[in-house]
Amino acid sequence: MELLIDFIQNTGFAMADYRHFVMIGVGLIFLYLGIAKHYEPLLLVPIGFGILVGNVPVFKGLGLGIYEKGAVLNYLYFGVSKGIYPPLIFLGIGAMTDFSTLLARPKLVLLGAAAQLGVFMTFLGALFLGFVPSEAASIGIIGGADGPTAIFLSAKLAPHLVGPIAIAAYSYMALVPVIQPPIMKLLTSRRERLIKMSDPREVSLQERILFPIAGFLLCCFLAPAALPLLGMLFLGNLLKECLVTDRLARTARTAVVDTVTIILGLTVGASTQADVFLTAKSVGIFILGACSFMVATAGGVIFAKLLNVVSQDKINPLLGAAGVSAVPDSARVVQMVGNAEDPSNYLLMHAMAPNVAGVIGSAIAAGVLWSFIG
Amino acid sequence: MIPIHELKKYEIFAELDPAELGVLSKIAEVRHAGEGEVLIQAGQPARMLYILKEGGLMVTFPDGRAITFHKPGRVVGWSALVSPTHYTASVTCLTDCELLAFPGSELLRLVQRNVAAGTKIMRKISEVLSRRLPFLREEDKRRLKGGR
Amino acid sequence: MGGFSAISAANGWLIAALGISVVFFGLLSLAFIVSYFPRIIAWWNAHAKAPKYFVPLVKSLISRPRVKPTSSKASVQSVEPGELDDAEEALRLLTAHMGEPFKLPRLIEVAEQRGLARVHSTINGLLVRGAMVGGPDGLFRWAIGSESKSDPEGAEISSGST
Repeated sequence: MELLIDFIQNTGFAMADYRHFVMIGVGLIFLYLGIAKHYEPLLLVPIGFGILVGNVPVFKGLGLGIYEKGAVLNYLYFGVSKGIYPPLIFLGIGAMTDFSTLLARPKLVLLGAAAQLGVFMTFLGALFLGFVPSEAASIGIIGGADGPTAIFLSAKLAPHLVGPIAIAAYSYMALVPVIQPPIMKLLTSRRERLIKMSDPREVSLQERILFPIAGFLLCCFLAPAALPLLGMLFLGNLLKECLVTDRLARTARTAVVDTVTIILGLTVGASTQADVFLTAKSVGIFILGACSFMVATAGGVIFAKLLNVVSQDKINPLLGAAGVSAVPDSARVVQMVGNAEDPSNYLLMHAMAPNVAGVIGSAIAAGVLWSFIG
Repeated sequence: MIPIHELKKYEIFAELDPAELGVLSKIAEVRHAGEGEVLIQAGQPARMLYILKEGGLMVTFPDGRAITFHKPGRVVGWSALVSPTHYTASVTCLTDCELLAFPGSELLRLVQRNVAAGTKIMRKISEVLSRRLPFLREEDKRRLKGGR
Repeated sequence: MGGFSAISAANGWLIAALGISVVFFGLLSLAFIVSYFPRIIAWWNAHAKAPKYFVPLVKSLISRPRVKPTSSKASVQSVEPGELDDAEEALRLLTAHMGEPFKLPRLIEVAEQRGLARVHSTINGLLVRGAMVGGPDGLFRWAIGSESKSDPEGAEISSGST
């Protein structure tokens, strides 16, 4: 009888309180959004399931929980806490990205820079709300709209906030088609939205090979703290473009990125436990996250309009919104909003330039914040 | 894998070179659908783009109007590539059909990975969309303004 | 601590200003260097022994794919002409109630409710035959006069969009 009572007391049912069920509900919502609504399923499904895994009550001391030394999940979480997984994902991203539109029209790179305004404005907003600088920087990087970068920086500066920050970042990336269009329409006139871009010039193979090498050296000399992220991004791109390492590039953008995404999503989700997530801080993170996306979008669009004032070759200011580096979702949003005015105006390819520049910009921003605050 | 010479026949891929067609051929699948089968349901997530190889299709819009396709090479499911991520009309097979199916996510990945091929495909799409019937253009404006 | 004093205490203004400046400077420099790539490469090709490395590699990418036989063709089960005539008569009766022009999906729905067999392929047959035509307004009508071999997509200039 005693044995039975002991057993029952060690089950999850006996150890659960309402907070576990709230978090399980959050996990189920993520699974629903990923599976039924197809919102970033490759991320939301592992994260959602990870939330379920992390919020099953377990007896402490048995080496089961993610924060317990020696636990399987703890070993897997090592890649998050030590910032290993995000650079591996960047390797895959580099191997699947074509920087040709950026090379064909270099000034669009500046739109990727302008969108990083969201990072620093949110950083200030977080300080204003009372977050300590390391937390504020980790929250600010949500505005870079780059999940791996957000996880990388928060693992370094505010590891206790990795869970809510990752979830906020990926949630808003999935909501980019909802957040961006109203801001884009508010800040542009119909005439501006109708601007058609000329076709990009042909970019030679030699340029595409030179770019990752020159880009890496320039960016990392300027912001050495961005080395892990940008180093892997440009390596992946070089593997793709140099043609002699096609097998490695293919592995990087398929097996490597998929494996790391599964483990990263699972462990980030599992790290999101009730005592960290169900707090006032999380509410602040989510509010600031939304603001960061809005400011980033506005920053990119306004900068594009400013560029048109000084430049003869007009660019469609909607492209500024693609500086928010949710690749390729924000580029698709630009295509969609441009299409609404003129179905024959295809902006998707042009929008890829600021989109991928934003990835570089957010990595530099992360490096800069880490060097100031770390 | 679909032979490259077969893909070359379709207007949307007419400008692609053999290497680009080679990449496309790896992501294309042949899909068979029976008479009366609803291939695409309006409101569902736009995951696939289809090219008609054989058979007849009816595209039905929410207000009950419709257009029909009978010629090989007709494309349905553009929303998987260009517009809000849900289908805005339903597509029903009028006969047993054979189609080429392209996962939208794979096509977008191609566009992201290969700008030259992506530009050619997008240019073709914009040419095609600009030749559309007036009521379809109005449909576009209405649904695109409405967003999701 | 919160508010503007918290920002000042953490050197927030300076960090934000410096941070965005570094990002801008970095990407501006990158854009500047990238804009010179065509010139650098042209100089290299003109003055250095340009390796004939890339051309064979690019050519080797254009490989002939294995031609796999596609799965069997769809059996387009067409309706017999005689059956088509009967079906046309039945459908004309239905549209007499619905009025012209009519909505094709509605016609199909009503015909199915009335128990007409193979409505979809029947309608396909009538469209291909030219007995029924779709208009530029998305509505359908019976062709005036005898069956003509007109383009079943006559009202449609190009592919539609869903």
